[in-house]
Amino acid sequence: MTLVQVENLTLRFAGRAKPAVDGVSFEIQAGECLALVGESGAGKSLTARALFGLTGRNTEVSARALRIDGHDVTAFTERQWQALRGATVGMVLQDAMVSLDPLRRIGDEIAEPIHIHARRRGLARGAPAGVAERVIELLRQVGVPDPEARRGSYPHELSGGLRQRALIASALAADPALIVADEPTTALDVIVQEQILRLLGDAKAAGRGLLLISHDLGVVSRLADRVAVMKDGAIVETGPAAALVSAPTHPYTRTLVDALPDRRPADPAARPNGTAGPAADVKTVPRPDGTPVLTVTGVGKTYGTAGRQRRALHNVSLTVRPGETLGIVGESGSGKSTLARIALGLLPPDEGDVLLHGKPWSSIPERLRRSRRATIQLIHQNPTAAFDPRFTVADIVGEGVTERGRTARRARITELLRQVGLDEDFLTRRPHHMSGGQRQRVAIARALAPRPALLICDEPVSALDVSIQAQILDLLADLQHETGVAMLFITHSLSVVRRISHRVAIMKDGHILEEGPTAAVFAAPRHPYARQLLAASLLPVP
Amino acid sequence: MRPGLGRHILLRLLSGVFVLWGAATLCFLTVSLRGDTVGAILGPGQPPTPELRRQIIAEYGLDDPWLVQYGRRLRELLTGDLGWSYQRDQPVARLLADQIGPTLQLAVAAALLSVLLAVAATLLTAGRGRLVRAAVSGLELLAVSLPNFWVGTVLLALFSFTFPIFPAVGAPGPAGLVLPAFALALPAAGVLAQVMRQELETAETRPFAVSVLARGAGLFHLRARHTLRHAALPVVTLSGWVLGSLAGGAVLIENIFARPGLGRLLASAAASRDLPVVTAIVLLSAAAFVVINLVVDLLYPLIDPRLRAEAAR
Repeated sequence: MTLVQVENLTLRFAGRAKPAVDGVSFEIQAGECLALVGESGAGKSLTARALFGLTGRNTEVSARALRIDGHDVTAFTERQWQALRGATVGMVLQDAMVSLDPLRRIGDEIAEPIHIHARRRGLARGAPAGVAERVIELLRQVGVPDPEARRGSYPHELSGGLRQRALIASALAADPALIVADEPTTALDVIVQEQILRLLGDAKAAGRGLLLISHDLGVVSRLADRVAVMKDGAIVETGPAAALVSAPTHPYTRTLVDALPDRRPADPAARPNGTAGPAADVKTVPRPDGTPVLTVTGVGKTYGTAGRQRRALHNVSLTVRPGETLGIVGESGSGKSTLARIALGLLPPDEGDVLLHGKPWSSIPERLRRSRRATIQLIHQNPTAAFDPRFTVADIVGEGVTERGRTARRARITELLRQVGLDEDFLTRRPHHMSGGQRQRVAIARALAPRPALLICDEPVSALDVSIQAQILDLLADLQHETGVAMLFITHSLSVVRRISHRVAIMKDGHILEEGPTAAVFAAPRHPYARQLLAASLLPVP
Repeated sequence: MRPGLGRHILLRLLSGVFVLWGAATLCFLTVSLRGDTVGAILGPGQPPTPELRRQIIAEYGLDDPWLVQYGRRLRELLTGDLGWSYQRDQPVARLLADQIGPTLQLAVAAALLSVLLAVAATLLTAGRGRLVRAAVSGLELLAVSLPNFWVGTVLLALFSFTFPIFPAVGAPGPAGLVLPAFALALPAAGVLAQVMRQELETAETRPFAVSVLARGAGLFHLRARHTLRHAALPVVTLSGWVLGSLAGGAVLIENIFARPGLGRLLASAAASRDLPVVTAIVLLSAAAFVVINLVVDLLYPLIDPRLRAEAAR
């Protein structure tokens, strides 16, 4: 049965000539999953909102046909839409931390669609009978342990995975025939991502239609029956998932497929700019004779006061040598960021020692550290938050430049911009006039300005679109080749770490479970958790 | 009870004691050390004879060093002795007890009214077209900027004299409360409405609002169950400020409407330099601030569960 039939859907913001969604057509059958894939701004989410009549006030929506579960919704009134929302179509958004009302208990959020639609159908004015049981049943269905107690929790009290499960439960509550999931796993770690995809797969197996929206072709291709690739508001290619990934026809689809980190050409010569640098298996060999830039020995860290303690790091040891990248992978809460802060000398370890170039680093007072601070530089996940929005690019990069004199400084800033692939036009731009990728390039230029020996990269590409991710990873590898800088690369993405790292360390609950050369770890992980992690990122969803 | 809550309250109460001490000291310094205290005690009339002067100075210990006077004052306050009014020949505590009722009535009515007006203005205009919002926002700005003694006078002229709907002055009972409460509430309502609308609109652009609408909720449901609660947060924050504006406004409003109350008592006491009465009212306001802020502090985690974990720390 055809659940959704969209024909020539066009959506325009008032006062704009160019439509944001331009002649999109697709169908979804019951029990089928269609994926909409494309980069941010491609019109995916707007297309999804059109199925809810929630495109906002200042939009004009037109379609030759827009049928949902047998209803022609093109002329629907707001009241008719309200009857449809939740009961026929359910929505799951990205990051339940902000997609669930932070002031309400998850049980109330899950019960909400049940109450709304019971009231609309004119059933009992009070609470319909058995709602509490239904909520518990839903929580159990989405795999939340101890549902009787958990329904009284607030979103911030749950882990990212449990929150997302609760959000899915709230979308399922009024038993809709179609689930629209807009980037449902983007904020999650690989293993949790896998679990959430499975859960959505269960909904599909139960006969619901599924519209899955993502910027990550790798994620959707594991669950989707068909994939539609969107670019600039239009669908450029549609086809069965497997066929589309193995033999993309449209050039844009091809760039998306190529950008899948596992599929990047391993041979540097095959890369577009032809520069040397590490690819899927890394070619640059660290100088074995170099003294380690960073030596971390037996570091432990505990947060909290007596009674409510949480151990963030247990006996962590690692070294980073010049010209080498050590990747640290782990889920959120595994201690990665604490490790980064200790390495930066921003947080004193409770046990153990950190040496920089073989000299004491963590044990000395800040006064003595300050003169050597330029040796370690940090690249954040979100450069927008790390820039003063009033600064120009020249100001931002200039902060780290050590040269004296106007001409020398300017020359150095221009050179740094050139190194990160930006021309002189960018000197006077401000952060909000740049794309995410360009901003991250500026952040890299600023980090390189004082000629550091070590770059600490904390999820530097997680906020970027896949094709931009690949460019930034290439850039980092090229810069390492050029300058010999060492990198401590923190990420939750296995495919990213595989592309960039010479060695990889897998972290969980504050422990380093496994450490070794990237190829060896990926080929034959020894620790059970590492095996589980790798399996989650590679296996297709059944 | 949450762990650490008792300690938290204790700390706040301690800092409250510090605030009260500061208020008492400032009162003592500004009023007591300047001008002719004997004249203030005797009140207007013919200048006192040297004989009488000496008698007063001896009785009130005015020839003691000021540090001794200050110590004596603090000791009296600590034992709960608010003193004896210079002018009215009554214990200050009795004066306050007589006058606090009408003022409380007025303040509570004005506070409720300002929140009611603010919620109404917010619900009617949030998310509306630009014209409606500009007009209402302008009105709110006007409400904030107009001095409330002027508003009070205009309300009196309109609704008591031109259209005699409400009693003019000094009337007891609810009817007499309407106009003064309105005049007092307007500026606070203007500020609260602006802040609430901002917060409501911010909340309605957040993803959870989309989630709620996608469950089939209408705008009324979204606001009643979700976003108004978010908008209430800054109102709670501002309630200390609202109290201040009410306390200041009450002095003027009570005089205009010839209502009994602390504001009017304060005005006459200040005019005749009746130090014990002024000090007592200032201390009472300071205590009210301390209590309101403590209550706000404890209310926050009730409205925003995200703060519960932090408050427990």
